[in-house]
Amino acid sequence: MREPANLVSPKARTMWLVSALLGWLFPLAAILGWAILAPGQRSWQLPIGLAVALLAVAHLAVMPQWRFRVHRWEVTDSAVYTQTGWIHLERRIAPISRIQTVDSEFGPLERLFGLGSVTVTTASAAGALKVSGLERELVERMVGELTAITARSSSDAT
Amino acid sequence: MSGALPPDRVDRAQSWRRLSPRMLLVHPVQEVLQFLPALFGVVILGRANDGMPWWFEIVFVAIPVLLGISRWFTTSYTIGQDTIRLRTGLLQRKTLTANLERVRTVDAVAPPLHRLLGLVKVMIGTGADKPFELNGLRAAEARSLRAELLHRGVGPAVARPAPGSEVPASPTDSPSMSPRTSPATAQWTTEQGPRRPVEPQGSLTGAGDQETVLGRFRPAWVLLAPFTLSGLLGVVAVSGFLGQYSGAIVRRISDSEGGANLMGYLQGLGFWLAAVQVGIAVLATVAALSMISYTLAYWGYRLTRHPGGTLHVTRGLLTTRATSLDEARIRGARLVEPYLMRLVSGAKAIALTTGFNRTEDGVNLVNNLLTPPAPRAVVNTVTAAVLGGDAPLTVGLTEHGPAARRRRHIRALAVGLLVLVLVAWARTIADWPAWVLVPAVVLVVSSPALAEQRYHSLGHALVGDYLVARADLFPRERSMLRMDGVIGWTVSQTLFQRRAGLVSLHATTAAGSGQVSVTDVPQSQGLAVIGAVSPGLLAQFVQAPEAGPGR
Repeated sequence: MREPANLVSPKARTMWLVSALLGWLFPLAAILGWAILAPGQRSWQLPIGLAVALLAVAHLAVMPQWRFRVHRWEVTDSAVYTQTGWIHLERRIAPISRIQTVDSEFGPLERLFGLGSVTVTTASAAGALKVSGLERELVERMVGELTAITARSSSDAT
Repeated sequence: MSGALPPDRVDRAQSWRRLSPRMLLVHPVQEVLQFLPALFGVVILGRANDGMPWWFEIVFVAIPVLLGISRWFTTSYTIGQDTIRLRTGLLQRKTLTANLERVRTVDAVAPPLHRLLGLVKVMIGTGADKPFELNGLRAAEARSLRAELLHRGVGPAVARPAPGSEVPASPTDSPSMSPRTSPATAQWTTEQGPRRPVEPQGSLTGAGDQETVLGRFRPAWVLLAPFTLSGLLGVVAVSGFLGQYSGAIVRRISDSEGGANLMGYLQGLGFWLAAVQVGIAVLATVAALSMISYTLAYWGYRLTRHPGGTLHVTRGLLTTRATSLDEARIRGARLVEPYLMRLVSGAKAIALTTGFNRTEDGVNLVNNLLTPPAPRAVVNTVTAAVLGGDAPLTVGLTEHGPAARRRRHIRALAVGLLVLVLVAWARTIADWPAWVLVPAVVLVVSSPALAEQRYHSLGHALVGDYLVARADLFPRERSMLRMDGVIGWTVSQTLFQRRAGLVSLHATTAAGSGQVSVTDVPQSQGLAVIGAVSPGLLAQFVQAPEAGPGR
């Protein structure tokens, strides 16, 4: 079994970097606040602050590139195929004939980078297929095409 | 697809029906019954509500009673050609609309009070978040409603009742039902080839001539109940309730002569003998409560098949419950064997049904029951009858091989060692006695045995139309999913699985919890399973990629 053919937009790497950076601001700010309010506890603050900073740097350095390589997708005439994960790889296949809804989503950060995500759901409660970090026009084209295909089938896809 | 509902085509014969007026009696009594625990506190234990006058809580009963009564006046429903609508609300009027095509289950529940008055509560499952609830119809009315909803033309393969044998609407039916039934029956004649006589439709408590009985309750099954441990929940609930008044109750018991005698007796025994005797007493209580709750829930269980394409499960001693499942919605079944039940060759079976009313945290597994906990042989027979063959139940499963076995051993040992290390570490900090290490050591020592058992429960098979997968111990579950019910695949692989050459497959489905998993299967075998269940789907992702239309 091979990987899905397509990578997401290269701009997604920058977006993931920015969003991870924003996420790390909270713990770093908390430690900074602690350092200001309680100057007597440097022996705790220094190692914890250092550890968090190291983790943050490692995460920011590795994650966007890694995620860019792993998060792949493919749409064929008969199926949608996605790959996500980190240490735990997950590949999902949904036959086009079983697709129930196709959603597009443009979050604030995604809009900033001209990106968006597509979510394809089937009748299963076990989760949808989501591809994020796609070019805006691609998202709109995919949603249009998939919706047109799924509208042709009359069954309720269960 | 959850789109907009088609406009209701029949607005003409649409009259709004009310629930049974007898519900006006039910509401007050129910509210007073709910008030009983508080009453218990006030009267028996003499614990008045601090500083409040005695009538204070009466007000809290009166308000719900009035609300309940007003509910009858404000609730009405109507059934059109395509939709069923329910109007509720006193101040904020709400109209719920459901598409009749989407009715998958009809549940009729009759708590004791309802039964006394010949009423049932009907819940209509459409796959939406909230079931349609008609609380309080006459039993006969509920019966014909159920027939009307379920046997109207879903499931292309099954024969539907012919109109000539349609039972005339019972006198209790409201007249508005007749115009609704006739167009539908006319439709049946044009569609249907074979004509079959039909019994009084979908009876709630008695099987008709046309219903085939697939499974029937045996009182001896109650003996299995202690192994379900359901009594444990009862003990927890009772002690929780008593906990509210624990101080008063303990005082009362120890003050009484019998209580004092008991305490004296136990103190005379010494620690070990007393512990053993108390342990036996607790076990006996749990067993007794299990048997009681089993009897209440499953007494009179019967599973029948109606030629109109539905399965009916009726059960219950005091509160009776009749569930109807549309067979066209059943994608398979799952055999559940809790560890203790397996020791006595017991199991239970549930149906994998699409569009089941989902609760917030997953799927409501209460009313898709096919058999209650019962001897495995009986459960097998009943499930085979539902699935249309016993091959999925009896076929030998393919083992997942040495890598999967090794993984079971490593994981069992790792968990045991982790617990041991944590307990040992905790002892260096807290002042715990040495014997707390014993359970952790037992866990480590028994890990190979546990791993072997877990490995032997793993397995999968493809037989006839079914994908069969079994896994786990607590409980062991054998899922049998019809291949055409598979609507996609998830192939997941952790770092460790990648190194061992294993994958976990999840066949996604609209039924049940949403997927059936084949755990830790060798990669090539796993891909072969996907290839066999969904021909052609995987092939395109094994060869070199082509540019898809989305590119």
